[in-house]
Amino acid sequence: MARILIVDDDQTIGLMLKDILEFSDHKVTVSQQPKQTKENIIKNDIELILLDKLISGVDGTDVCAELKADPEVAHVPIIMMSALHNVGELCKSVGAVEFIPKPFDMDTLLNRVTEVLARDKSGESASS
Amino acid sequence: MDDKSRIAQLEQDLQQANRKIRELENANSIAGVETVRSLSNNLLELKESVIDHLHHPVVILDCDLKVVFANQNFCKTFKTTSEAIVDRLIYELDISQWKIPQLQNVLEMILPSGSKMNNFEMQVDGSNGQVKHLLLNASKIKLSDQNEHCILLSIENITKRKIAQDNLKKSQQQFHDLFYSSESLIAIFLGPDHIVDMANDAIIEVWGKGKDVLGKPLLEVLPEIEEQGLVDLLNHVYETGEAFHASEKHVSLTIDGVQQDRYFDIIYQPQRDGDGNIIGVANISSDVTNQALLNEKIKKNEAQFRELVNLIPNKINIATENGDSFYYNKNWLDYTGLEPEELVNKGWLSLVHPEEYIHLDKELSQFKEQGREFEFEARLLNKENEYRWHLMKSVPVKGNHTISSWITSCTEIQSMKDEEVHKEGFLKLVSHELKTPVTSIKGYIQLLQTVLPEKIKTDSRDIPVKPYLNRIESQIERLIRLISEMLDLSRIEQNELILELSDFELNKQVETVIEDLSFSHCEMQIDIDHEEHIEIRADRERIGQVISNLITNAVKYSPDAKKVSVRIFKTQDNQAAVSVKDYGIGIALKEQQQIFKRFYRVSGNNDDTYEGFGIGLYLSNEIIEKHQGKITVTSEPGTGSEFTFLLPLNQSQ
Repeated sequence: MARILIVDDDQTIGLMLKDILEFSDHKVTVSQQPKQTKENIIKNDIELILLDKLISGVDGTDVCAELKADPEVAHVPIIMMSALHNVGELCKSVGAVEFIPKPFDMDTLLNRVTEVLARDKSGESASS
Repeated sequence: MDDKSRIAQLEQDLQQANRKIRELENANSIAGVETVRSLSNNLLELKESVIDHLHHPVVILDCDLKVVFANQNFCKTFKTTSEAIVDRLIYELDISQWKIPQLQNVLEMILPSGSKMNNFEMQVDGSNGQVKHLLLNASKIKLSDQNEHCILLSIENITKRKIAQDNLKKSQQQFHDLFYSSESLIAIFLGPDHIVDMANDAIIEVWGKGKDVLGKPLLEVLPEIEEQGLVDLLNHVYETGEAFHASEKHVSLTIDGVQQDRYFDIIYQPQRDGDGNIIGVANISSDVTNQALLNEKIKKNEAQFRELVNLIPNKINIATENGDSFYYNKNWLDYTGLEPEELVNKGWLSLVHPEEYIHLDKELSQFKEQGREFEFEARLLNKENEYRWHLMKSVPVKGNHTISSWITSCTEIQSMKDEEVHKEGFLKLVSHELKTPVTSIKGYIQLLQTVLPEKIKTDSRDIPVKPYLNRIESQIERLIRLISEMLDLSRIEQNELILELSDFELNKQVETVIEDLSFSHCEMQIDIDHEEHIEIRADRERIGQVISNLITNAVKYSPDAKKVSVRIFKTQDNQAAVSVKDYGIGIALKEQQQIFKRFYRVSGNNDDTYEGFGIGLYLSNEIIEKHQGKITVTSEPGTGSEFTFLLPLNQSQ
């Protein structure tokens, strides 16, 4: 179980992700406001972010880069998602740990989330 | 005065003296006789002295043809001395040249007849084997103090003159041949009226006025040229001595009453006599009418071509075989705002955007070497300092199998490029917009598949929820595939299909694809035959896409069959191969070449339609070709088809 923040301007996708992740026992916060991401992370003690590449005219990679440059929230792993083609490498280059192209299989999504959380945990335990 | 004249003069003096002696004798004036006799003796001495110094060998013979006297030159020429030959017969001298029966006869004839021998020519063999020509003159003279006649024989060596004469004759013949048989039109006009002095056959034929032209003034022969300025030109040459040259001079001749336009390359050359005075004008011309008419035609064609080249909206330039452009049409000048010379000096390559220039410069020299036509896209700088996209095509112009020039045509495609950018943006938007709802649908279906039971019981009946959801999911997958294909197509068109290469097991990838497809095609049995275990370096996803496409097609076009066979093997030339065989409707031979084209779809017997955009095989072919591979098909209508794709194996295998 982890506290996960979903940032996507498409409400249905946000809800669908929330439903799937909650079905897997995660605690999910959905946001359509990329500018409030940092606030949301702190407020909800977020452990993992699912961030869309294109949110209401804001480029998700900028958001990702900003978060990664902020020592307060930089430790939170980010998985980026997009329906755009050929942006996986770009997303990873700004600090995303994983990229999931849309549309995706539910299994793929859940596996990636589990993997990233496990990796993050082992990384944390290794560093502590 | 030459020797002959001098001898003649002497003889005359001698005869005069003798006459005086006789007159005086007749007058019995002893004193007078003595005076004259002494005068005569003096004259004889003088005569011998003169003869002695003559340039030619001279000999005086008595009536028996014995030598009385030989001059210095005689002795020198025949390498003898006066003492050795005096009193000896002329033809018995130890001089081989003189032992000539011909000469003996001639000399013996003179004595009795008393006649003279003038300019008798003889040929004798010289000591060095060369023939010597001698000119003999002999005359009988009577010396006053002797009763008998003597013979004065002068011998002149005329060999050099003879040779010179022969040469002159030869060159005269050559000149004659040259003049009369030459294809050039040659005539010589004399005097201020340009009397035709000589005219060769060629010019007589061109004039077309018959052969009777010699001795007539030119204007009488060709009255039609009076108004054409030719006579003025001849007058000028005749008066000033300045030669005149002209190329393709137009002359209108009247032949058989018909006016004809002719063109000549003309030279008028002044003719001078031995003192350098101008006596006439030589006309040396050649008829270049055909060439001139051709040139005129070419000029006309060129003018038309230039008009045409300026009329079309393309920029056109022409370059030498080395690629240096020497001509730019008006559109080029308008586009660049440069003058023709500026553009020629700068060269159009200097206007190409640096990004394209890097590639272009290399490619250009390659194509130039190979002499092949080529096409490329590049941005060109205009007069507003903006780069605009152009499509350029260069074509070699060949003459006698070698390239004589290159013609390049540039079409502005900026609006097309702008549209491409819009289209690309639009496709990205479409892709994003279509994929977003599909993502939600797929997510919820998969969630439902997980959470719902196999069936739901209602009051009246069982609802098979899972099978329903499976069908929805398979249709969603199909929708996703269609969206992907549409995007792939636009990527291929924009050359944006980028391969992500990795090493993987081909067999595993085939298995994975078949596994995925089995869910949606559970009614079809897909057999797999691993003949070989193959590892390749390729784009795993794209190869999977090709396999999926071939199997989907096999299923789609086998409505009545139950089986599709997939085989993984190596070819004899060591390539990785995957074949997909179906037992369906098959493809007619004439359609087999078409199926890899975009939007082409095989229709069934009853014009059944099959789902899809008709771009699956096109995409598969593009993907395989990008891997340096190849897709082939063998098929028979009604029996089925077998598609095989070949990929190069890793170097290590």
